[in-house]
Amino acid sequence: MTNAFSVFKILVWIFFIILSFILQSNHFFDIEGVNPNLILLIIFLAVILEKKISEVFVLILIIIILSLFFWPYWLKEILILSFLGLAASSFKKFLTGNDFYDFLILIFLATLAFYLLINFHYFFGNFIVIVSELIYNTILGFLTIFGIKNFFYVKKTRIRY
Amino acid sequence: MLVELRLENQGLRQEIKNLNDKLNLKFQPYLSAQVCLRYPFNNNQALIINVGSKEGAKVGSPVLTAENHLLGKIVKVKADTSEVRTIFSTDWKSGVRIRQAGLPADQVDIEAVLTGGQSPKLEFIPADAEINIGDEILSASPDLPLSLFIGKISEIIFQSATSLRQAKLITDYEPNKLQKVFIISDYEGFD
Repeated sequence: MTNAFSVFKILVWIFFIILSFILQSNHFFDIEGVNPNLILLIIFLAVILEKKISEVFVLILIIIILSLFFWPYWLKEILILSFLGLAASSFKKFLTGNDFYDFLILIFLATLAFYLLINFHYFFGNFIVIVSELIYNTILGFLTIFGIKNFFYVKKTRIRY
Repeated sequence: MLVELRLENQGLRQEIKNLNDKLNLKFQPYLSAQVCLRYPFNNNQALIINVGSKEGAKVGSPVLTAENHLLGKIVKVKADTSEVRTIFSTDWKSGVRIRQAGLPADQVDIEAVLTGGQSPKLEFIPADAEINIGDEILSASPDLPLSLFIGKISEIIFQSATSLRQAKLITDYEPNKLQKVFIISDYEGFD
């Protein structure tokens, strides 16, 4: 754990993780029955923004612990997302190296991989819903990384990566 | 001969009474529950309700949206909460019967399989079955009370490759807006 991975930064992450749990639980962004996967977005945001796998691991551990409180019935889903996050963290060096593109690529692949692993039959029987979520996740991911790049990087607030 | 018939008649009456006692929901206690959480991903439509084993919820207990309107059944129980698998869950499969609009429940003879999903559908409907849009779907699964109303046919799909048909089902409620449900607490199915 480095100084950069400070207590303050962890608290900021925890705030956004809790916010994601609340918004996703309440289907806040639900459009025509399609709910975006905010936890997937937050995990892959951590994968992109945190350069060390140990830091990603800590954040994923926090997500797993919080899921026991928010989603106690759906640990399997969280563990699959965590596995995808850790796998992506290990293999992201093979991507473009550009955070923006890598984030969008990872969201795209992870959304597909999540449904393939969680419910193989669902994946092939409900392709329209999956494609809708894929587009939705990618748009939200685009807005998120665009916002972070512009507001956190350029304006150089206290949170630096 | 007459005595035999009378005895047989008495036996059949007793059997009907036993079945009615088992199936008539008016005699069965309900637990009302609030929906406290909905499955957060798109591949399922499970619900978490605020009634658990402390209040008497059991795995397999049928869950209704209103009297005689089936929503699903309990699949996991914790002390204070339970998970409900609904007819909108992708892993829902149950036997159903199709009742033509206006006919009484005992004149139902078309059977089908209800497959869950965001848009639940009926499968394995014989091609020669007379079904129409608006026909009612009733439960006919051994693990659920018989003849609970599930929904109505909204669309009939002809499958040219087989001698079977499919139909889409519409419910009289919006599953994403459900806030209160009812559990039949002492139902014991025939699993």
